Amino acid sequence: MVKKFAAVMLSAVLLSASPLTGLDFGGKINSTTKYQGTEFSALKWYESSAAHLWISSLFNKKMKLKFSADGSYEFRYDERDNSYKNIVDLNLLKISGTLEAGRYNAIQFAVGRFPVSDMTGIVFSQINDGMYIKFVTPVIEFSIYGGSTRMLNAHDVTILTPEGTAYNPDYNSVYVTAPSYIPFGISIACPSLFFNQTLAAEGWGFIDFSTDRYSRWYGTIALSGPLSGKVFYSLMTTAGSENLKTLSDLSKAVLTLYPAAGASVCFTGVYASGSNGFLSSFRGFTSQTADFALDEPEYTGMIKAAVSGSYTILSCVCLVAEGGCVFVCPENTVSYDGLQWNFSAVWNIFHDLQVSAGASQYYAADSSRNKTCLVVTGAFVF
Amino acid sequence: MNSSGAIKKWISAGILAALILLPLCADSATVVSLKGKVEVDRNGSWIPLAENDTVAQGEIISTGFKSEAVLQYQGSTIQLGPLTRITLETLAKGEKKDTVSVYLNTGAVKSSVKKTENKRVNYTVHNPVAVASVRGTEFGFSSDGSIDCTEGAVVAYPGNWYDSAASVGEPSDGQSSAGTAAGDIAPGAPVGAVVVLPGQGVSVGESGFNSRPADTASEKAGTVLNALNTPIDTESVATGSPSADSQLPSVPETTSTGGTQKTGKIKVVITVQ
Repeated sequence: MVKKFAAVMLSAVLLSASPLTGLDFGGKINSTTKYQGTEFSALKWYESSAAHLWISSLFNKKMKLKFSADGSYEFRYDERDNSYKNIVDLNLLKISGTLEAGRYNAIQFAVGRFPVSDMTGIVFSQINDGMYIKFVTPVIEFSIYGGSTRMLNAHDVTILTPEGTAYNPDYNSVYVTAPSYIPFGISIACPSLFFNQTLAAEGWGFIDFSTDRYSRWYGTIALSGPLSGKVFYSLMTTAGSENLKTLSDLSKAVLTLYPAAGASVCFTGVYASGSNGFLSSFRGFTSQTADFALDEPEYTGMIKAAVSGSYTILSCVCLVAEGGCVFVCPENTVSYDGLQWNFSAVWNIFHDLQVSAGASQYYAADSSRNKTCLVVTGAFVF
Repeated sequence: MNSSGAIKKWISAGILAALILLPLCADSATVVSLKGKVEVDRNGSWIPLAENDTVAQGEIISTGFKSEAVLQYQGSTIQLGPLTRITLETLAKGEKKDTVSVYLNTGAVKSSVKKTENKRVNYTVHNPVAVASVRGTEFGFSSDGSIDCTEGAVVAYPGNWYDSAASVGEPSDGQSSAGTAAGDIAPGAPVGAVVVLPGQGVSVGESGFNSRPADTASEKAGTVLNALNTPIDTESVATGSPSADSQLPSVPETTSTGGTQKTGKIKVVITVQ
């Protein structure tokens, strides 16, 4: 009786407050069904179903002060080890705003839990707890970020730890705290510096507060901009170091074309150093799958060239295709590792219902690393 | 002072005033087509407009639901979409250039800017959110700060940065390219203004850019993929300008195990600014 009363009261408060405060709320239910394995005859089932509830409120229009939150429950099943998982997470808990500093400048800020990505999208890309401040002027943009990983749910974020790590949690719990690091980053960008090109530099540090003594440091410099109205490029290189004792490199070149409305073609080249000469093996801070091979390698000791394209038809269906070639260079030699392709189709049946289907394959030089994957997803928002 | 001296002084003053005023004479535009309810605010009352009517500098034109209008001034046209209201701030014909300044109160307009009689055209559309100045261009401007270019080049910048200096000076002749400076297109454009080329778009906020041309192109290409985005998708922070990886559309997860350790969504459209 008390629960019913509380639910009714909560609903009444939310509904009545909505028009007054700009309160917005909703939910999302999504499901992913996957069959994957070395070949078609030996595919294993993987299932993930999740429900999200979110709330968002703009409570000060002048400062654009906004509060956003998203919580989720997810069920996962993996046939390979016959494991079940129930996961509860707080994915977003953010207050953000903008302070105008004179006519031309602004200070944007955000505090709480929200997704953060570095310039490369490979070194650090995950939900994180922390504070972000960005100073925006017409000629330069300067941002700083500082946070902590300790309170994150390790089911949903993966921080790369060293071999023999002391971090060994019980993954059967619904909420597993992540290893303790202090990530902080500084970024400077000069948009439209010359000929409408942008030059940017960024530094990230991840100080280990666990017992692993595995701090990592990264510095990135990037140049990007338009080559014509529909062609853009980006060049970036990142120097990495573990405990300031090694030196590694990650370089990335991207050329993107938008030949027609709703269409894109993208050429990407990535080099992540192995033990190549004076360079050590590159390793990011968070896990990013580098290619489609069965062992799902990280970006380390590899060269990848890929082309991808997307095309929207009937305003509600998006077709996406990708092909690529992967070489590995763990030491001073370069060898062919495999070819990969992927094709996906996403259909927005209604404005609140989306389904998709996709397939991918990796043909490895070592056939035990071949992978075939079929996937169907569905999502409904309310 | 004798009377002939006084007359000479008056004539000189008159000639001087004429010389100052002649180069920029307030003018009027013509309604070349309309559909539905289109009105002009004259002396506080709304008067319906018809084809071939003229509207003068300083007047406010408004379109109703499912209504449209096209105004022509010299070689340039401005198309008002439904539920749109504009103020014709400046319609000035000069010896070397024509100046047009339109304030977009609400709604959306599309402009086609063409010079006549070898005169240059200084054409600006602005509102509190954004400013667009152009050279020989077709472009769209919405009151939410979305600007897209279909021909020529547009210089865009936040509304906070606008002052009348943006409409002083003459745009230089020539074709625009990816390396064209904003000042060549819109003399007086502030530092930090962005050049928008054909096929490109920007989204401008009051105090900065919400998305630059590369981000906007990526968002348009990923419209279907991003259709069901919720705050967890839109409230991400990507440090540094060059990469907007956090905004990349994600397609079905065919690469990852989806287990406890991997994230691995396939990122398809890479943006670069």
